[in-house]
Amino acid sequence: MSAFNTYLRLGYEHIVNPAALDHIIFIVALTAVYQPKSWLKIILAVTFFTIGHSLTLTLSAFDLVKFDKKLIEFLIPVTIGVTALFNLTKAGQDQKSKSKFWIAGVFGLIHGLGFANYYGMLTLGETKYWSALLPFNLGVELGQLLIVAIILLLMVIFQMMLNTKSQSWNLFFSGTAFGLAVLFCFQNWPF
Amino acid sequence: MNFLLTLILSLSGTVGAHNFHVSITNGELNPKTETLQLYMKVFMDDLEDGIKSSTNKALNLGKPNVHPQADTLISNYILGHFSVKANGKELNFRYIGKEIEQDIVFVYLEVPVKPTVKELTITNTLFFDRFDDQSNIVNIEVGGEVESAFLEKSNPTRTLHFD
Repeated sequence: MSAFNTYLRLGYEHIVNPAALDHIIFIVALTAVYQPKSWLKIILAVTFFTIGHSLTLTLSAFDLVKFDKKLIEFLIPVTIGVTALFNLTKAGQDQKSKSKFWIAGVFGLIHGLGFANYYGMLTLGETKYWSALLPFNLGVELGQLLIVAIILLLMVIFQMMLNTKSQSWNLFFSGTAFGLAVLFCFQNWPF
Repeated sequence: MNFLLTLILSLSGTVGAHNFHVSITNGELNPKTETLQLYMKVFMDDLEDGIKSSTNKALNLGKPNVHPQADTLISNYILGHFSVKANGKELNFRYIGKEIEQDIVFVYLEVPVKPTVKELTITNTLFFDRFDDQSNIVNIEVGGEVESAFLEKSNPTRTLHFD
């Protein structure tokens, strides 16, 4: 196996992993208001999340930002809760609104900081700065796209075949995400 | 219901933290000195915790009260989990030293190997007893060709082939 494939797999398994539940739940909350026909918007929202995520990762790798790890670990479930609550508002449910992209990007910044402490493992001592980092991030994106694909498949089954109202879908998944987010907030309480 | 709650709580024990359990080893076979030179990158807290739980000794790396036998402890711990066979024969690594950068410990190892080697069988079980999701990556370059092993608990050994 080439080193590229090894790091690709590392990134993929970093997302497709029970320990990545926070990441997965955020994606679920982010996409809960959409209907299957808005699949492109779902992919766009998740990509904005990746952009935000990569941005803070890169900045922290250059030691440009430093934050308290405990605070970040608390803020991550807060972003999930806020996203879930926003799904209950009219603006949050507007299919044409770009607000979801902003939320994804800004909250992606916070999620990126959660990983910042581990970043040196992929950059320090490597022959080229990107040699491990690039395939790792590609793997992360692949993992996210797999999760989006599973969500879309479930949406098609429930909303198009079983005629579940998209409103019910939204309430069900926003509620689940919010409940878990509250639990995670208490577990990561930093104060 | 109790079962569900336990499941959620145990799953969420790692959530938010979303820990990254990985070690990376990069190595190169130097044809001039006929040695395989490796450095292993491990997270300092994982290494400290691992050694503490197996020897009950605190390394205190990077602190004024660093353990006087820190190098021996690290060497024993790493070499107790990491091994390489060349053409089926076990190699005896020499511990060269360590370096600390940010929160990562670089462990340097060396062993004589003929540059004509065609097969290296790598085993790295580091931290598999501590984390179920630990991944150990080993990249080795022989004659300009890099081969890579992705080792995890269910699959801790891999043979790399060089042409």
